[in-house]
Amino acid sequence: MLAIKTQGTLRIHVFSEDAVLFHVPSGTLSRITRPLAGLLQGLGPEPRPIKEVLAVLPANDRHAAREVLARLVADGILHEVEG
Amino acid sequence: MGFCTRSKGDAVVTRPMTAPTLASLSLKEIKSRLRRSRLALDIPPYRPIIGCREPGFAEALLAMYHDYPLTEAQGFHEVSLEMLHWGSVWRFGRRQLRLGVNGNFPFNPLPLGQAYPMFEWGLNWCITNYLHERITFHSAGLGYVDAENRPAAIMLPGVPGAGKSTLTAAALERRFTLLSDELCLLSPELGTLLPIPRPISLKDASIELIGARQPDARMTSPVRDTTKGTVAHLQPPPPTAIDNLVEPVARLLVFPRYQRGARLACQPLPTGQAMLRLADQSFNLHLHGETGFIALVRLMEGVRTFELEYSDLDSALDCLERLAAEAPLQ
Repeated sequence: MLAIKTQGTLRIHVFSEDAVLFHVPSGTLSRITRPLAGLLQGLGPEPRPIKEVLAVLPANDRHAAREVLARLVADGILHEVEG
Repeated sequence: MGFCTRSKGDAVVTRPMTAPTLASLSLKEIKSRLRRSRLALDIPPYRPIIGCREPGFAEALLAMYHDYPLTEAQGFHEVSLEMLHWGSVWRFGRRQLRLGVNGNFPFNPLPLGQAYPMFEWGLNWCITNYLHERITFHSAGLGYVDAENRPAAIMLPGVPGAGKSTLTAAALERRFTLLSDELCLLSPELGTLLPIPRPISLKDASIELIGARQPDARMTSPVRDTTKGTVAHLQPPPPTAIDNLVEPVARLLVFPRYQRGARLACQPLPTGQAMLRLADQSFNLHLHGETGFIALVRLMEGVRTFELEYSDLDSALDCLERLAAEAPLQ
């Protein structure tokens, strides 16, 4: 099963309508949803299965969140491993 | 006596401007100093030393920086800017102007006659390239006093052509003061914006539009066929009337967009989305790392964010005034 972990320090700030993520090592700034922000705040250097990570989101949000996670992996902000 | 502000570390230093102003020199003396690259002015955030032999430059500089203080040519200057003739009629064809910045020549030469816009663009380039104690945004800035009687600012970030400068020039007819028509300089520690009220760069149809609205305003002669179209600069308010001597905190972040024929539309923007759009307009946020992110978050927590599409200037100004009169975020 695929798992993800953070790649370096993430800073996340949640506003009233949305949230932003700052990847400290690369300086990348991304806009994310509040639920995804909550999810990523619970993520650390230990790998967590993607299914488990997504399970905490409302069903309607999972598809979009999976795409965002894929983008964050592609950007080097998250790391995908066999978990 | 006038005043100006200059940031020094954490403190905002206010000092009286007792030095004589550019207007105290005769045009002949200004030209003489420019010929020798010895004209030194205090134009926050820098004290540039300026040189230029191009006809008309001295007149334009005097019109725009009439009330700005002179500084000692022998003293310390953060930047030197020289608009130098380059090429020869006999050997290389058309003579041109090239910009010397601290003795280097970072740009391709421009046609003769573009010395004044070249000077203003060069000074902007110096700020965006050298002033990294601040987070620099491509944004106009207006000062005002908010509903709680505090000095406040509106940031108007946008790409070229969004209407920042036109809106800024027209806003000076209302309750607003000029922070800048081009660059907002955020202190990462204090969260304040440094006023740099320099001449407003107007382009193409805006020149006639603002000229008709403000017939008494001083403007440089339009320079045609620049890389930005036809350009003229509008004299900023005199330093004595500027900004109540303090650096304001931004309370409104408005992304203007001029759209010919559009009806006024002012829509709130989600804060995170606005933050990313503002970050896109920064020249050096990446240099500030995590400190920059924290400063930007702090800025965003204190502003209300909008997108403003307009074609009619007065409607847009009414809208800005309404927003400025509303209670700020705490």
